[in-house]
Amino acid sequence: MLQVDKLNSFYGNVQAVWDVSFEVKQGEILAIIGTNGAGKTTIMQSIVGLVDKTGTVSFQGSDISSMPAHKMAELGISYVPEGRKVFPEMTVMENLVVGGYNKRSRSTRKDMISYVLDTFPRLKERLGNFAGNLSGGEQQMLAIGRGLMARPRLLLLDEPSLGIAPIPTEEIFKKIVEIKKETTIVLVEQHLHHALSICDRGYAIEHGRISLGGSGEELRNNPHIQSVYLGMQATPA
Amino acid sequence: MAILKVENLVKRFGGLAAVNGVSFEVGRGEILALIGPNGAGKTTCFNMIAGYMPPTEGKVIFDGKDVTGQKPYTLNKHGLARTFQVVKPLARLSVFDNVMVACLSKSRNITEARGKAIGVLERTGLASLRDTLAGSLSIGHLKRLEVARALATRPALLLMDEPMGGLTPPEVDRAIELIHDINRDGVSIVIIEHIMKAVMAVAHSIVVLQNGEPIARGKPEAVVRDDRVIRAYLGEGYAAGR
Repeated sequence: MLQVDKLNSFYGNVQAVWDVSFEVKQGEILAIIGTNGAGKTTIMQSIVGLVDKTGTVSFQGSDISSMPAHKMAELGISYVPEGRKVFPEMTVMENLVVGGYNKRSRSTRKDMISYVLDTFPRLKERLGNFAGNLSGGEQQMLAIGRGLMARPRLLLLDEPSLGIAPIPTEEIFKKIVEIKKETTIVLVEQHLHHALSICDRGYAIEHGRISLGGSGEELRNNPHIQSVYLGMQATPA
Repeated sequence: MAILKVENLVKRFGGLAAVNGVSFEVGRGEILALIGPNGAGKTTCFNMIAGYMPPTEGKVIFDGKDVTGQKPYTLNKHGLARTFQVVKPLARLSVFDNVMVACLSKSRNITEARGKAIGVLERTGLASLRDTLAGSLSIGHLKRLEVARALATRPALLLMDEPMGGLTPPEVDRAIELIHDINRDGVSIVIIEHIMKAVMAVAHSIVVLQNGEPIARGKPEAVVRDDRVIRAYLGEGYAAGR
């Protein structure tokens, strides 16, 4: 469904991603793992047109390499950025409505709002509050909810559990597996045990290049992954 | 004498009591963890202690003096520093300059500050990124830069708001070492963190907040076995995994 071919990404003169090619298949969860600064976020941002790049990105057969970021939601791609980036001076409800504003998702807005509030009951208590007054973790929940509102065909999740307490973190991972029935997912996540146990396939990124790829299980059992990414005390999830 | 004592802290935002009667003490050399669900009031407690906002009610006693409502820069001068959960780097300055600016607070001139900044960068593992613009750092490195900038002001008490977010497990291990290292130098620490492995590795004691109120406190081993804490925060999964 998504094909990335020979992607090179740049911040000004600095190249952050080198010759990265991969595909995401319909209905799967693809995990991208790597240490800090490896280029995971840059790859996500390259897909949705937020970073200067060369190479080709195609989505459901059409080339979207030069498509601007603001067309992505309409096309069916939602990007949940790391670090929240909610609209602080709009209420929780307004943030959600904006998330589902494109033509494709407008008709199902009501259902999606109740789905999101069901996923994050904490947001229900905050519906009328300005997003900027939410706690950090609540803002993260809102960012994920806003991404879901667009009813994406492809959902790019960048560190969804950042700043989230243990119980809602468990919920998020359960929901990700549930959402997979309707949506293809690319996941960047620090909770690697979690990420590798729910993903179908994964790629490891080192210094802006793909160093390894395989099924979730292959990656979990790979000695290099265990020592570099999971830490020596790795226990299978 | 405790380095920090908060008495009956209350913060109301309109009708909402984000923090409602929180009291605790941090002994000299102690590491205290503040945990609880999202929206429990943890960061708001930090905001009141560090002078980012005044409490509606209650007192903050730092180093034996009532400092309630004092400004962050005054408190920092007296040895209190904090990191932010949603990081606040000077995005268009290099990593080095970010830390150097913080070093200026306790230096006579810029040469001295530059020298100190090098030491802080080495200590926090940021030396190889010194010329990178802070705005282009990954989240894990930004969290580390927060710690570096706070350390650069040579605090006696360091408040850390989720320093481990976005770190891979081996990076978490290194961050745990760094916290032990900072603490060995005599810095008392209050830490907010959701990665329980890290909390258990560093905390001498824990206070648990829920809906702005303390629901448990004590030694880490006891607190994580508390039924209320498991229900409100840790979840059955955590309890089963122990």
